[in-house]
Amino acid sequence: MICLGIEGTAHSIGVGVVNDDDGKCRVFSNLIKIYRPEKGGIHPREAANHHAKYIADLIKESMEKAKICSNDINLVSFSMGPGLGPCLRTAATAARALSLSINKPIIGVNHCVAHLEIGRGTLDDCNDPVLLYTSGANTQVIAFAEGRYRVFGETLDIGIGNCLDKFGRNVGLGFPSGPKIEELAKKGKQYLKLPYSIKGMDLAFSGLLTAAGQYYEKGESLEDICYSIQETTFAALTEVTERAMAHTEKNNVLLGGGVASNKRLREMVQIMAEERGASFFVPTRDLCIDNGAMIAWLGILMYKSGIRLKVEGSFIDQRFRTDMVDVTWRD
Amino acid sequence: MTNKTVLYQGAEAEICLDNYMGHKAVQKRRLKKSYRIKQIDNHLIFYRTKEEAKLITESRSCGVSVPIIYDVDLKNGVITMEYLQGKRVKDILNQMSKEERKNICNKIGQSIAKFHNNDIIHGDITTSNMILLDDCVYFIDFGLGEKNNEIESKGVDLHVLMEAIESTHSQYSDCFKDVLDGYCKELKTDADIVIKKIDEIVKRGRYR
Amino acid sequence: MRSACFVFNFDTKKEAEVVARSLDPEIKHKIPKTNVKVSLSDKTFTLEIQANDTSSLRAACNSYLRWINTALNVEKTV
Repeated sequence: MICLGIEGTAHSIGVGVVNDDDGKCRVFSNLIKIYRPEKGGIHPREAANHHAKYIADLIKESMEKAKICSNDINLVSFSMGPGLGPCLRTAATAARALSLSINKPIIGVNHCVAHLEIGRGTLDDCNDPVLLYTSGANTQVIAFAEGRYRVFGETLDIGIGNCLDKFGRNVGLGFPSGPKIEELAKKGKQYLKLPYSIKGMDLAFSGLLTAAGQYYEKGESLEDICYSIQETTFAALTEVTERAMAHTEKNNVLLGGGVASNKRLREMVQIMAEERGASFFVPTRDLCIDNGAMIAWLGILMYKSGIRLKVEGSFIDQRFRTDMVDVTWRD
Repeated sequence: MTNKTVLYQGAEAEICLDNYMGHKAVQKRRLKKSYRIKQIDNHLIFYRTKEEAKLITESRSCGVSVPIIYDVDLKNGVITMEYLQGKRVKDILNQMSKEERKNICNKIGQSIAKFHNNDIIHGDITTSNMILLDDCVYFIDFGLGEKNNEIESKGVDLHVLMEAIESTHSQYSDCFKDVLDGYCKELKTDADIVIKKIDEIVKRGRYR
Repeated sequence: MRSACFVFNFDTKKEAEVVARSLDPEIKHKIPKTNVKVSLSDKTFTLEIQANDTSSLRAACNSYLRWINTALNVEKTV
């Protein structure tokens, strides 16, 4: 079964074509176009205009890259949420138009669950992981428990990616700031104390963001601040992930989201996993960031388990919660 | 260091059997984590051990049964405390008579109210963290605890117990109601505000 | 009350149908302070938008035109 997936929850529009190869996900193509505002944060309607401009070309290119024609597509999948309303509605409209044009079924999926399923689908032995999902807007620890994907810990204020970007913007690093902060952090030598905020299983980053800004104003070295931000936030993320693993008694840990590209975060989670005797997994970079292939793959899993959606009922849901998904494709 | 019997291994700490000046004792030892740098590791272990010891001591002074603390080693993150020769409430609640169960749940609610009267948030109120000894319910494991006067925190504190009862003692659904009866009796402020908060948390649908 | 009416004459009946049906959930899923009516007859698709004020009307027009464009471009691609 070949599925074309469309992802458009936030600043990226992505189209991926994947095939179901005996229960494993084979990615034929996975194209992503990222909206980068000239300054400031993401404006939802500007991002939606960006997505509208590129989506048709992306669909065409992704089919060419996958060496398929539109007749080969068996299913069209799109991200129903959570995300920015105007962006979601644009991606959903494109998915409906494709489904109707080629007369193939449509299916809508949860974006956060897709980040987890693409790990299970593409990585050997990653069967039942705890996912640490870290991106701009989202920071969640997700695992399968009692028939659903549950959120065991999440940010109570801003996402970790947002925290890094906001700090980067305040000190003039430009967007996205994560990779630049990572580079600067390597040269950091001195740890500057920052608030380490874990509440139960949840996290908060806005206090740390303020404190880091104050260090900058006081003239502390940017390298040291970046180093301290990474060490503090990533340690907290790793700790919450470990608690979720202990609580759910799982021994697979998976990274997802854009911040999963950070080598220091990977290293910390890997050390934690090794000390627990657990296995550590991280998908390739293009499958970590927001992408169409993961949307396509979850679409296949849902369709194969009997879920059907009518075009007329294919509404988006900005606040689509991870634990609202009825997981029909797992025991 | 001699080999000690590990009673429980958690993500953050281990509980070992120990002997303190002839008394049977338990040690809660916070574990060093090599994924985080020394400065953060040392600080967290020091600070959390101190906070936990403080919360246990404060709980005792406001009338909740907790283990007696024998020794606190902040540098190594070790709290040595009384060994409670009782039974976990989790393991015995389902076997009790209806009357006994109601009585215990009332007591649990009263103790939680005593916590909240003093702005102590336990942070992990489950029946695994309660020990029944000589008709008293002892509370253990303040590792997620804090001092906080917010209604939200108090609501979350009770909500954790509600979910624990629903999953572990699902056939005795009136247990939580009995807990709340005890809570309302003992709480010095308006308990309805906290109970309304629990409903709100349920509607938000977060899982812990 | 402000209103705008758009009449689209498409090349084929299929184009008109794809656009109308792709838009359908977005029409039902209301934009605040806005009312929308659509009709389809053969190759002609009509979109009427009513809003409380001019800025809401403009925002709604932009949104619906964006989605019509999106659907049409996708239909033409495959």
